[in-house]
Amino acid sequence: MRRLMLLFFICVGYSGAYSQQLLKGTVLDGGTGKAIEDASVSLLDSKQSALEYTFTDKKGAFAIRTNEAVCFLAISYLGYSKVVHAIAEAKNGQVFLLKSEEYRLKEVKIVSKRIQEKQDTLIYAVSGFKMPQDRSIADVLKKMPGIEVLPSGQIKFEDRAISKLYIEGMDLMGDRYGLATNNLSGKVVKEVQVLKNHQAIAAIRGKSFTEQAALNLVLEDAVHYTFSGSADLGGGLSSDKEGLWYARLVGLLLGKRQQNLSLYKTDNTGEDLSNEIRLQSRTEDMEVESDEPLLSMPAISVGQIDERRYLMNKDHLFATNHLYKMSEVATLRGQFTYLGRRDQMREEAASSYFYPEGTVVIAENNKLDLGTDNYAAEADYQLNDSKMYIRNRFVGNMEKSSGNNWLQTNNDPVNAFNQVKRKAISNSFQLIRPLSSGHIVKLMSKQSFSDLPQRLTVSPGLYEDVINEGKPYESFTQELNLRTFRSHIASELQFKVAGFYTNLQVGVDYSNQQLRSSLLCKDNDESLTSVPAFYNDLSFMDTRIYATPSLQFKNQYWNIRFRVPLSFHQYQLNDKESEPGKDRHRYLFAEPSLNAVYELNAYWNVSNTLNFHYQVPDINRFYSNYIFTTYRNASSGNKFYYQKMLTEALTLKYNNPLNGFFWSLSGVVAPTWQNNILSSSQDGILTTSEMVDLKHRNLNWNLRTRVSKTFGFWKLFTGFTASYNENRSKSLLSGELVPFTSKSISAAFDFALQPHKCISVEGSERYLRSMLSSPIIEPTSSNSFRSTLAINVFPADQWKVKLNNLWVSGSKPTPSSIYFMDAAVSYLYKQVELELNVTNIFDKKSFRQTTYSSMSEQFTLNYFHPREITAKLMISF
Amino acid sequence: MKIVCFALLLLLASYGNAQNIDNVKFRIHYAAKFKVVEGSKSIRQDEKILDIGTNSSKFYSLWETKIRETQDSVIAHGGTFSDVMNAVGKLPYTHSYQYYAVYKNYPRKGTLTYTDKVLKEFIYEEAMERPVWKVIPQQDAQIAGYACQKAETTYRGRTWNVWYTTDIPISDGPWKLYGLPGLILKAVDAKDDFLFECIEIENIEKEPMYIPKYNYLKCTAEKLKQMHIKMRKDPYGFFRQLGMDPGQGYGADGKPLVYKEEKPVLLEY
Repeated sequence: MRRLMLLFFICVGYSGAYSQQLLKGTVLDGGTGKAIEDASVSLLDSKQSALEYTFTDKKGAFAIRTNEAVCFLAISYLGYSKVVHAIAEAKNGQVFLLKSEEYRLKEVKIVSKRIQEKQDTLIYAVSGFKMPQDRSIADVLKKMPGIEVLPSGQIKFEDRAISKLYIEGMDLMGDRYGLATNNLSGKVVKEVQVLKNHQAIAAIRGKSFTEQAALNLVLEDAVHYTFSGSADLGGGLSSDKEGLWYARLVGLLLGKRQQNLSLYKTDNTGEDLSNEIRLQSRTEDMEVESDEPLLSMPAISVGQIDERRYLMNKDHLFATNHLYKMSEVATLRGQFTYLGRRDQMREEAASSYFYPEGTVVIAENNKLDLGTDNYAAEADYQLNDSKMYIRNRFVGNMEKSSGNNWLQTNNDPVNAFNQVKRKAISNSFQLIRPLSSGHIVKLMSKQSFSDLPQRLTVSPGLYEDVINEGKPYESFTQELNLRTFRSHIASELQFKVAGFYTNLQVGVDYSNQQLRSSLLCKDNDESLTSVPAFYNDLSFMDTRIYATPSLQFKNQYWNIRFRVPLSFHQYQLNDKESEPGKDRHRYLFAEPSLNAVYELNAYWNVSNTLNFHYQVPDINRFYSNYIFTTYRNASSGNKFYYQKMLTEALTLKYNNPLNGFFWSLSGVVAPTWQNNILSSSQDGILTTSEMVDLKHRNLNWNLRTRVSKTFGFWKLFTGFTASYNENRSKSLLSGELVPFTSKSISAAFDFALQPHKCISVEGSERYLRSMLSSPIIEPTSSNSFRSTLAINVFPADQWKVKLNNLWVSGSKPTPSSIYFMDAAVSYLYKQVELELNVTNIFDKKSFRQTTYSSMSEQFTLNYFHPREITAKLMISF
Repeated sequence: MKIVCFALLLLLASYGNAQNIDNVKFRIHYAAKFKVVEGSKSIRQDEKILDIGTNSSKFYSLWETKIRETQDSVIAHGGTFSDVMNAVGKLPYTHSYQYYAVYKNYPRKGTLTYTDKVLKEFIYEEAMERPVWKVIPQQDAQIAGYACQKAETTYRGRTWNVWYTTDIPISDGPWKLYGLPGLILKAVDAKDDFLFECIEIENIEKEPMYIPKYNYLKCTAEKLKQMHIKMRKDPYGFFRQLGMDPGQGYGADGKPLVYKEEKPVLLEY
């Protein structure tokens, strides 16, 4: 109390004397006498609260203006005792000496205010991204930064396919989530959660992670525990007076313990509904390989033009997905889909096959009717506990496809009728268990069986000399049956050795394939005879024991990954039609790969990839007697062989994000060493090919460069890409080894801009030149040009207008071009949207182009949908 | 194989990942809360560290730094991405997505070095600009057990209210704030977009202060600000600017990709 009184008198007594005076002084180290720079000098009031402050300069000097409220002068500096003087005692020009002392802070720790979130989730509010024109959740996802939706429906996050699509945290869709993203209305989804590095398996969460993200759709409260859906109906007319339809009905049921999404869709406007049920993600340990038919279905594809412009279809799709939650950790999921397709296509083609003795030209006028009925069902049980993960998936698939091809081949009518029936079942089992030591043990087992009968009937009777001893006949039928059994058992252990992380997978993989084929000849008297020379009965077994160790290293400059998968194979080929019948081979394959990335600095980056691997064909290459794979192709090859491939890729990149400039240059060299070669010969329209012993080497190399630049206005982006590809290969044509070189040069320019929020424009220009040369032909080449321009206008929130333009031109066989223009306008009122579409406004119907493959050249004339007008009504409920 | 291992070890030995710049004497922990997007109610959090050395100081995100250090260490030891995520998953930290670090009086007295990550690592240097403070008497507070006084400044587009303690005679503080006769233990901006509040104070012995050796792109404060703005305004344009072509602009169905533009909440304007 006395001190306070004294303080009061000091302050009151001297305040008048020091009002608004400049106080100068110097602060020195009391021990060394050296000036102390940056010491703080504060003027304090009676409660020792700072009123003014300053810092000393290099000479330790300070100057501070005082006033009547100031009572004390305080000087402090880290490492020295604090000095406090009554202001009355401080003299102008005074030297203040500070005494050094070891300074320690009073340590404190406050726990309550330490806030943390232990989540790695990005949350996008759908309302922030949804635009009036968006119908499905896929449309909204496309706008979310980092998320990309491919035309197939696959979703990528940060350039990597997502592993799962959950609806309200439940895995209703499995690996076919396209059904949900393309058909679930954006209006029912409240939030999209991106679960980065999502580990779906609870038992290894926190121990083993994936690079993939998962998406979880959080739905609006209104659709919880209730049935909701949407209906789209559309109709129209084409300029050929054909009626057009489109319908889609979607129903969604969300309950606490079960979810169901069902849909029916039908369309004849060229939309390929099979995209909806395509596999979008792959759980590698659960997937099984599927076999391709040797007698493949005929198909028409127009390289530079979208399928919807030339596919004349009548498609129906029905799909239902049901998930039942058995307990908090166990679920049972069922999925059933039916896809019925009836497609028609037309094409006129002239194919030139170059042989040493001359060029064979085959002209074909194709009219193709395709039909597919596909039934797929899946049952999936999962126990996803923190101590154990068990999953068992059973998949059944049945497909019946037929292709009726009415041809005019060199003016002769031919009918080729293909039929493929596929029956396949598979079961995959996975068990994962974390051990107390922190190691993880995985067991995986998958078995599959498929039966693939195929048939090709060709009429009238062709190749009489080969098939029917020179006698005329009515038709031949190539029958073929391929049966495959596969079994794969593997275990994986994750552990640490000498501080280095190691992951080792070992396993046994067994496959057994059986192929039987026969050729039936139907004589003019309707009797069927089998042609013994075309009979095949063989089996091929591959037993593989493998181990895959890998090593990775990264520092500031380098990122190196080195793997040496080692596998021991025992191949056994039993061909009952060949001598000797049994052919057994044992090989140890080491297939090293090295990936290295070197960051020179923040702008430059070099990466190199070197891969070496062996390729062994499957049973489709081993039969000893001829099989007609199409109406004018027959092939055989009974020797076991393999080929070695080396791929070296080098990429140099420069990128300067400060001015938005990017440049890259990459080159790939890929030599292949083969012991066998495909020998082809031509007899009329029939091409026969077989594998024969001949060591040779092929070489493929390419160069690609890309430059892009973004500008600071209108969101303007421009990019230029150029590439060169050269393939030097050899073919055995009519017994003569013929080297040939195919080359292609392409240049492309693309741009995007948004000059105003109501309008956006995007376009691209692409030039392609393809060339083929060989000692036996004059060099030949073709040029093509493709240009696109899309303009979108949003005059008001409810209205949208779009205009798409596509122009494609080719120089060969005759200059030809086609220009498509589509326009659409739509209006949205509450839950109802009306869209009016006009496609192919100028009613362009055909286009000619030239393509090359191996030692052949194809001129094609393709036909497209005529002008079509459709109106669509879309209702959500 | 031996040769490869040897080569890798040589590489490991020949490159360090950080450069020592000082020794840490004191470590101040701040709980940070901040808004990211203008108009959004969402608030993110982080734990920031102010390391004070003999000549310089460093202010950085504890969470992002620990995650990054763990990632680099595991990868350098041959860990796969799974191993990285395994190790990161065990850390008690999560991403705050604030990667900036402020080095005061580095590389020389009176100079500030600022590093940040906007998909790539950026760096700039600038002369230290001392905020002009107005001390506000009679509004004292106790923060982390220290008696603090209030001060106010308008600095680089924001008005800051801070509480500093003269009991810690260090003229420093969170972010670029400094220049008071004591350490700033709490700082709040007038719009409530940013808050830093001291939650721990430590004496540190024999620990180096370092600056990570990344491949930094040299820029300026203005250019970095533009990067943050563009990242929010036009993310796909920004990806393209970095040479990553998102292949976007229009969806597969021809629908345009129009974004709701966002404005980032920045510490300085």
